Amino acid sequence: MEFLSELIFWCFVVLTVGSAAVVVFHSRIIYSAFALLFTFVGVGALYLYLSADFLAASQLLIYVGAILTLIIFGVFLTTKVMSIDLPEQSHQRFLALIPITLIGIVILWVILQTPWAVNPAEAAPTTKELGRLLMSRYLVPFELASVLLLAALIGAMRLARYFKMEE
Amino acid sequence: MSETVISFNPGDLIPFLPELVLVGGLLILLIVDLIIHRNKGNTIAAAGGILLVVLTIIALTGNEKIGAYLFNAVVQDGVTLFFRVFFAISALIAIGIMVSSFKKEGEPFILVLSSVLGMFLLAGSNDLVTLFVAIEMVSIPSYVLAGYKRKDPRSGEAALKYVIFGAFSSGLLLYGFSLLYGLTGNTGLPEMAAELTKLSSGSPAQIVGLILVLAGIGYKIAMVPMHFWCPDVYEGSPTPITAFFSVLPKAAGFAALFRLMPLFATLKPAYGLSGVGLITMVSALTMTFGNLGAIWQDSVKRLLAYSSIAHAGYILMGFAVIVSMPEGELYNLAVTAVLFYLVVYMFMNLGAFLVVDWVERHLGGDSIGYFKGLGKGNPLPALALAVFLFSLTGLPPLAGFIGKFYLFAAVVKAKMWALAMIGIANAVVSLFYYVRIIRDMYLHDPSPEFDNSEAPLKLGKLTAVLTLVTVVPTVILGIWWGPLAEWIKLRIF
Repeated sequence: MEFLSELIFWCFVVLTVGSAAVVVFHSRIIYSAFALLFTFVGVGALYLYLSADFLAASQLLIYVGAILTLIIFGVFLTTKVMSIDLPEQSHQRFLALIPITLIGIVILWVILQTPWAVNPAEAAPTTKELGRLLMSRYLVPFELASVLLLAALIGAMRLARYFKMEE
Repeated sequence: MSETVISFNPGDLIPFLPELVLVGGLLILLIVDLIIHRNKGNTIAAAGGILLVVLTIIALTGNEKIGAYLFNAVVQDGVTLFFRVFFAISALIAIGIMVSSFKKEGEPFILVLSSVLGMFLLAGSNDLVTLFVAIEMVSIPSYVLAGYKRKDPRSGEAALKYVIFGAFSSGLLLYGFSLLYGLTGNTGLPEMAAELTKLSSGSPAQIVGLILVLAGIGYKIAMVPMHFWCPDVYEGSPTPITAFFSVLPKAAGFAALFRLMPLFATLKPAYGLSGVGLITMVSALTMTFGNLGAIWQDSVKRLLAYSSIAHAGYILMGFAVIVSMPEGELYNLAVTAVLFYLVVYMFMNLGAFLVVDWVERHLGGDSIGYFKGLGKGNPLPALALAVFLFSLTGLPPLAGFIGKFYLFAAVVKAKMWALAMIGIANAVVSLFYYVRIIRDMYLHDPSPEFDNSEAPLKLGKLTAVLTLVTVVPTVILGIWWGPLAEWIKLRIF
């Protein structure tokens, strides 16, 4: 049982990282958008392994259900986007490997060397505690987020609004 | 699982009143803007301005230091009190500068006000989550404001650069937060600082986490090496918006840094790096890079962008002292120096951009050529700009000198000789490019290529008033700075 759980975990890891690589490296934006679907699903599954059930569900609902659909619609509705090839070549492709390797080593070092503050995983529903926290400890940021969304909405409308050249 | 009942204390809302008024006012303004006939953005601006004055008065009078409240998500201490007043006053001036340019619309003012709301909360955040949402609240309206001139491709470029850099640095910030959270298991800032102090030696996650957090905040204050967006965004944005960017979000970044200082103070020297060393290094780099970059600029807006990078470097000197001394007399001196400098910087920088905006509106550009011979036809605005530039250099008897004096005094008392030397060398270099503009204004004749003649340009009432509002403190604070320093000390300690 333990082995099976481990195996499924690694499958999801491969799915997440592999599809993320496709998102970054594919030259057609529509392929990238669809690959993002698998990345989001994989991340949702990883949340489940952290026994964050609510987070996993909202990941699926919001990212896969809403945001990704919106991205794909955006790609479809943008004219000529299907024919645009994203520039694949970069002049400093191999030069960039040096800092990337360095950053990778530093992150690995951090992960392996640190005594993390670990909580034992409990397979219990988290929604009740989350609701409590959102209504107490994180009430201010929670409410502020709604004002932030309003401001973002106003800004988006201003930028996207049809405008006459007389402006 | 404990079944504690969430008890909400309505009294907690009283210190939160300025924020509540701001949110309420924002929503009312939004609806009024929709109902009232379009093309009357100015009424909205005036209303927004009055709203802010009311806010300032509330923040000035009714409040006292009470510590953490609203479930410990926000805190009200001296720093919060100071920054609220600071943001309200500087927002008033920034909105005033905007009125002349945005005559038809209300949205820019609403966006500025919502950004100010984020700053208010940032100054009081006591929790990583509040801090992060507040930072985004400051940033997201700014992205829209940067791209406000849709006909101008440079404005679009500015917005895009701002967004991409902003998203990148938010990512760095969050990664840093997640490392620190992983170490401490807590999001409250005081609790985190306590947990981090318990760690025996600097653990890798603590170092990397704090570096990432500094980088994320550094983006807001245009700290080297997170400054690349700054000149392009300042140049491309509409000038009144640039004036706003150069002071308010930057000061908000410093407010956030104030909140995070206890975390940086926990960083013990490890792997050749300490909190003090880290901030000293970026401070020296920031001012040197800013000043060297400014020398080559032809656009005055770009020049002032580099100069604002340099000024962030000077202010970071104060933070280096703050990190080295978590309390005591030196700490008090450094905090006073930083806050005093922010006030001075606000007046002189907003003032400089005000004059640049005025020239740009009348002559059509901000290249240094447009300023040639300004002193002959328009002696008063040219004099004002000269005062702002001399003050930015830090020459006596202007406010900029006193501000720099306080900062250098703190650095010297902390015996950070190398940093003090670099700072002084930088102040000398900065003289060169500031004086270049002044020389062009007074010693050159107007050049026909920039169609500026000796005929005086129209100086509107509002511009005149705003110039006075910024010039007078720049001069007065250079001669009679005691009351402001006392007021800051009274607020903070």
